Amino acid sequence: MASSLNTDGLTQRPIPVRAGVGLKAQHYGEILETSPDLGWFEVHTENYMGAGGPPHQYLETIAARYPLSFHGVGLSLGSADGLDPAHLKRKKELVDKYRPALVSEHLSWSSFGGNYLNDLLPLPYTQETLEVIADHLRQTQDTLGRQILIENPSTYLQYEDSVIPETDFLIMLAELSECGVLLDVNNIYVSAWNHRFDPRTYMNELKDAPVHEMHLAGHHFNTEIIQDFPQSRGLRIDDHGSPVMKDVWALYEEAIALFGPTPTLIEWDTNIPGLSVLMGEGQKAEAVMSKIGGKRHAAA
Amino acid sequence: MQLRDLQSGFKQALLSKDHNDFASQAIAGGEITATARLQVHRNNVIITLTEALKATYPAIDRLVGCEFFEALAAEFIRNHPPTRGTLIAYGGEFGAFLDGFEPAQQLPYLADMARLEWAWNEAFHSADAAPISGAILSDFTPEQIPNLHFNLLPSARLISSSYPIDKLWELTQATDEPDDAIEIEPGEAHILVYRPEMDVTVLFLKPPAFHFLVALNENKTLTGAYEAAAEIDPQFDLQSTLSDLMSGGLFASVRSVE
Repeated sequence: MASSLNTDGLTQRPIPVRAGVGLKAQHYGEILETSPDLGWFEVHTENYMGAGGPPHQYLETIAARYPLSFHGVGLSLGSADGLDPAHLKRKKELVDKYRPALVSEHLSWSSFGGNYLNDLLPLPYTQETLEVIADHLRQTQDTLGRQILIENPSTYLQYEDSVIPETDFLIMLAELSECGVLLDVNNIYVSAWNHRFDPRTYMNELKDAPVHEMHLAGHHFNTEIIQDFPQSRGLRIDDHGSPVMKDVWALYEEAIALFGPTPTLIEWDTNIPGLSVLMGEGQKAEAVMSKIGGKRHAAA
Repeated sequence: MQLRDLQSGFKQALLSKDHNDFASQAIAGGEITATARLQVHRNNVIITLTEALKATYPAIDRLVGCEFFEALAAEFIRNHPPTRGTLIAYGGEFGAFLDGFEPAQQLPYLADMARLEWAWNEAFHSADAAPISGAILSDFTPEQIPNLHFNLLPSARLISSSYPIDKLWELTQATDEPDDAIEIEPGEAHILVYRPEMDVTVLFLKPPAFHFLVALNENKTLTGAYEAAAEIDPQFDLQSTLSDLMSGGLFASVRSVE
């Protein structure tokens, strides 16, 4: 039983170059009973910000068996009015306790003026934003005593004031703060559709970025917007609620060809299916890595 | 526009139903208008926070039905957006909000049901502590026993209501939908919520036992707590009540204060 946060017994296990899946409460029991052949698990750090109880008891057991990645959804690196010190402190306690091999956050904001809006909101790409988020990244990395990865967002809008291309912004951020990049292939596809850019060009622009993890997920096509704006091509919405789409798998093959085999997470956060479905998606990702990755190394 | 002004305006627009000035000032339009693009985020905020409230308040959802729940959740979210970056802590003011929510006045028990569900949520996430067993009392002399202080587990919450929320709780925990409308007798409820191990326990108490625990929780001695219970029922059976509560694993520690 977890009586308090401590580091007893939990050592850091590196993330293997394999597929991992998002850890969901629905699957705790099955994971403990069957010890499925999965490379690693990723958790939403905020789901473990309670003091104790079943979430920690399960996570402790799983952390002893599998490598972990901690993916934050609530720190709000892009907030103009600063990071919540209590949130950052709690995050540090969790990182110190569970020793995850990867820690990641988003290129977005979610909090302002003491309120958390529970959505990954887009940022204007300006010099001011770059300085704000680079400062917050450094503050987070200094507090945690480790590098974190930053994820490219799915976006549905662009600001009038945005002047820096998103890929340049990510590269500059990685240079300024020495953070890594979490490449979400589904997000590239969604944003490329929504803003009419070529997802392959976007990926190529990032080819020298320090990509240490990839994400794959499902998304949906918003049917109301296309009815209201029939002359447009509509919006794709990232919802992590369905299998990875065929076009996204194709883009993932190109991502693996470009960056080499990379730990890849299957994200599925709404309409969560049985664990076997997630594992099936993970096997597809591993098949891509052995097919494309193998070729790449053979050719090199 | 400064980032601070942009985020302030965006937040205000997200939490309103139709405040669209921000969208036209800051967001690039095109084939799809700036307002429609903003609406995607407005929907995200309301839908995901409504789901979070449904997960914390499943009994309220069941009692009022999906449509009413979503309407009251949207109203709650706009008036009480989260103040912390984790949803574990979101929705604690739902009970107080329901007290003053005009469309819910027909269902006066809802607010107390919400307080009960919030107590369950807090117990689930509270700090872990191992319960003590009754054997610990043999560590004390008979003279010390009347002056002992009992500390409840960190998960323990005491909820009372002038409505029969215990009956409503049982009803909402049943897996089947009832065939007919349910008649519930009026009556008050006294409830203890705590988590001795992994599972949250919801225990319905008689008023003397409830007030006995309230007194212990207010740091009264065993004698003081007994007096609080005996005031309600002179026949209050201290020994069997204490023994039941101890074997149920309610107490984290007991200490003697000279």
